[in-house]
Amino acid sequence: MKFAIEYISKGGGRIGRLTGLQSQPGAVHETPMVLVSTVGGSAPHLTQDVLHLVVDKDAPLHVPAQHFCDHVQVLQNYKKGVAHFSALQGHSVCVSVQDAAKATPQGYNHKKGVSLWTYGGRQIITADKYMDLMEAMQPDWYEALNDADPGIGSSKKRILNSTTSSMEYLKQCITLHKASQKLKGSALFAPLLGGRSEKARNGWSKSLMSTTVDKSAISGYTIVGLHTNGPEVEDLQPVNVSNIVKASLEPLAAELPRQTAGMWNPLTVLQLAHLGVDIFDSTFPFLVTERRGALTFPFRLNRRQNDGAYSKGSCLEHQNKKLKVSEDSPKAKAEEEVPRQDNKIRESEDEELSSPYEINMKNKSNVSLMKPLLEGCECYTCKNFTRAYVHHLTIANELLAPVLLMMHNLHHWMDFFSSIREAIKTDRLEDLQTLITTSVFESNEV
Amino acid sequence: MATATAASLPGASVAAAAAVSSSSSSPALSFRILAECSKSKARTSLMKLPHYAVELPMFMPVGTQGTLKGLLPEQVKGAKAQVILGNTYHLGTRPGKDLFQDFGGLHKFMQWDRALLTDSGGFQMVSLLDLAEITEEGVKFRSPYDGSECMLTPEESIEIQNAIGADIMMQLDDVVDVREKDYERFKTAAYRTTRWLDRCIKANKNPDRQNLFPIIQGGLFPDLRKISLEQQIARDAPGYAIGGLSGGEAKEKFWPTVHLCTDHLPKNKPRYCMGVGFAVDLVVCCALGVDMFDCVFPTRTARFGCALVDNGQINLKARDFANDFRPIDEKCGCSTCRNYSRAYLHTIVTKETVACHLLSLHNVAYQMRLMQSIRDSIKKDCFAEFVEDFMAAYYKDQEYPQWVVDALAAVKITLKKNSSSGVTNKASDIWDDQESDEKLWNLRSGFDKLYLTGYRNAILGDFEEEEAAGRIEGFETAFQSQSKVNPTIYLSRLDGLLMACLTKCKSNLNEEQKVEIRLIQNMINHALKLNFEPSKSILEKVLKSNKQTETRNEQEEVRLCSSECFVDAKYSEDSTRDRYKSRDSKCGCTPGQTDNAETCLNEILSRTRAVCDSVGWKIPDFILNHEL
Repeated sequence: MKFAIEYISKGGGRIGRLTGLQSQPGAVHETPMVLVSTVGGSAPHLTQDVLHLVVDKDAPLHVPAQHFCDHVQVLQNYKKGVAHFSALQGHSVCVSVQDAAKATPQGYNHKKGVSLWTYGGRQIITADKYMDLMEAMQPDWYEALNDADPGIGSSKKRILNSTTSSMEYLKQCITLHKASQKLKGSALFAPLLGGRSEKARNGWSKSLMSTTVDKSAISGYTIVGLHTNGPEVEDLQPVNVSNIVKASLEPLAAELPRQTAGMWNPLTVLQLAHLGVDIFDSTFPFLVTERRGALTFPFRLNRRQNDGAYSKGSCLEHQNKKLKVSEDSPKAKAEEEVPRQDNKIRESEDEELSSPYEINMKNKSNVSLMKPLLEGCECYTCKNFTRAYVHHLTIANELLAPVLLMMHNLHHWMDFFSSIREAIKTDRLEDLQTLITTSVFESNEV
Repeated sequence: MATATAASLPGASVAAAAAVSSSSSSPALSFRILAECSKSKARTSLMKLPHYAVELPMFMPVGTQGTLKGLLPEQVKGAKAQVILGNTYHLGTRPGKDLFQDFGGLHKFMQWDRALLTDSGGFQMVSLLDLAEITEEGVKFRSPYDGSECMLTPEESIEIQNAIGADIMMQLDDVVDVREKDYERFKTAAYRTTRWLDRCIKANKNPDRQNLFPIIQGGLFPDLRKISLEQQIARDAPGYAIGGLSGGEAKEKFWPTVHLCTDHLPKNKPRYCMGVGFAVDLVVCCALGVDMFDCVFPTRTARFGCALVDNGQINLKARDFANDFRPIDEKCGCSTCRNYSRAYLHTIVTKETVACHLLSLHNVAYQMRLMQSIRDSIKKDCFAEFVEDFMAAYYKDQEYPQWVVDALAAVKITLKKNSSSGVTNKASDIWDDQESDEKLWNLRSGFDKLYLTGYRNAILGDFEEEEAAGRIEGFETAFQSQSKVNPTIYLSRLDGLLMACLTKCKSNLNEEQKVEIRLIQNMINHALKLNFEPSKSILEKVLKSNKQTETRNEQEEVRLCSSECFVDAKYSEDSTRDRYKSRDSKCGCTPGQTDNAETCLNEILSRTRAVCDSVGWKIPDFILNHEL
């Protein structure tokens, strides 16, 4: 894997080029980019042919190790790697330890290994076993085994335990990686740990740069431990993660790619991109699909004022939206001190789970709407189907509802990232932040 | 008119090559026979509908609510479907006819540009009979959505179907559960169906672009079928449907009814046999001269992780497929088989919706391919050979069910046979009951169906906890309604319970409990084998597949052996003893201590109780109350 930084914007963020992947030597991926998150090897709800109606046939995939650790032997027998096994050959693959789409139960990691949650239950996996799995999966790049368990409010001691064991795993992974013939073409990403403590994060990153770690084996970094995966991540606002990510990135070599997984909301994504994170995933559109929402937040800076969906009028559709109420979640309590810009709309009301970035397709207001999910959207769903139809499928609990929504949401998310790259290139990342903030939140402040 | 058509039939078997004789045309449908089989009544034809020119015979997948189980319209087209069936009852309730009027019909709403067919909503009457009351006016029922009282009249049904805008509409008919015994009820239904047909014809606002098919009723009574045929044919329609079948009737009664109807229906018009979808049934009905079919089976079975293949279906959950890197069917050109392996499907079936989509797609494509082969073989006038090959591949041991042999013999097709195999009436296998799922879900079907289907579902179903509990309850209710408990059924019930326990509590069971359950099942298996012959084929099939997935370790082996000896001891049947003799020494059990069946049953019973207790399952009443 090769990574080159093309442009560092005065307005924050950087543009990079990811090339030389073992499975697609000719492909060039511009960053910040988004990986197609998968469940059991497939994009959620989308068969291969349908996925290709939304993304390019070489779009990189994100495959959590936990979905395949029950199938090591099968993959070993198969020999052609996980992408091919899942009928997605042609796509490159990044493997992470945990699935960002599912909350990882806490407190199950110990000295023996890291707990992975499979369809069949829990598996404790050691560095040896993990590397066997990597050899069988044949990823283009993968994250070293790590214990990113400490959630919000974890004690210093727990963080220390996690970093100590993770350092051990990292060293083991590096040794095994270098010794492995099969992983010659794969790139290893080191995890960035330290829970939610700036000091611990900074310390961990410094140790990565020290001589105790074989830096030559490390091709990139994955920021982990900011959260414990699952839907709660969308509640993390830019301000919640900004400083700790800065602390993690500050000591590192700038020229390596940085990745982070999780259901980040669009504004937090922008903040992370601003800080120089290069690789994201598509678990957020999946989350929105699972609650039968359709993403509609605007992201095009250069649209004419009266251009369809992005005009003021239709953005007001968000005004009745409530952010997911999370007052009673432990995380919200732990972060009471963090000021929230969107406090006003967080007032608890008995609304369906939703976010201001989306419309809720369960909502009866869609029942006879002959327009697409999002006016002007070029996705397969919007070009072919009406809101009334998608609403009908949603209400009837038909399997096609999540298919059409996932297609739209994934398309929207992909487009959002091309807009982010465009904004960085023109030094306008902050304008993009403003566009989304005003159109999504402003109407609520009236 | 009916007799005239029937009389013309012998003439039909003239050389197929010259057969471009029969055709008909109405404002929204033209029908032309392209070729006929020179032996049987099978024919292939072209039916032009407003939205698509359809090749017959064909199978129509069911897209109940304006979508085919998670597939995009272009995927459905890729699977080569020509017509999708929609359910008037469901679509009329949700999203409702007003919306269809606004949208200009279901075609536009769901973006399907080929043909559509809508049923009348009549079939749902049977399945919702508790809620429904049938009068001359129509069907009065309680809406399952909001509990309000609604009336579905022939006029209302047509009004909804006009709004939906399907190429073919079905008349509202008076559907009687085919297993109902009352002759008078069927007689009323047959006559009423024609009276309702007249009202439907009158109500149809779009005869120029929507065809209305009458439905032949009359249950399994030939005289009533004839009355219905005569009356319905007298109302000159673009095509006809054979209704009231595929509701769990004996196959021996099913095929003669179809045979009778196709003898009398006009040759130059399409014939549609409602609710038929198993491969064998399709082939037989084509031979009997039917042109159109529909069934939920291909998509429903996909949900259970099953894929259709030439000798029935395979369940991709089975461990055999974990390392099977072949496609489901190498001969199949569907996008699932072109891209995905059995091994991959095995990892996601019944877990990810993608697996469901992939299997639905394959299963629909399978049905389409089967129909294509039937059409091709008729065109080449080698349909009889096709049927022979098909049946020989489907029934590997060439033990053809008697009804298949009889039905095909009636149209001069003789099946290939081994000289030795004395064909007996093989019990229809466990899969054949899948079509009654619809009714099962309302737990209103007959005991036999419920028992078999419930049993199968307990094994294969991947249900929410609540639904599983509901099913087991229904299973029990039906069981208790048997006044005298038959030991076979009783044991099968126990086995089903254990199987459900294994599936449902998988993660909570410790090794010992699992082994114990398997041991009891083993005993049941033996007890059944040795003592109670009936329904053996079913149990064997299930138990066999269960055994394959079982990995025995040494210790288990010994225990299994001891249980086998236990059973052996109780039933001194030579063949069984011989089979396990070699193991006797291993566990030091002395065979030959004869005991009676009662002790064995009691042992099974008490151990099942113990297991239920240890797992924390509520012990079903049928176990508690059982007195031997």
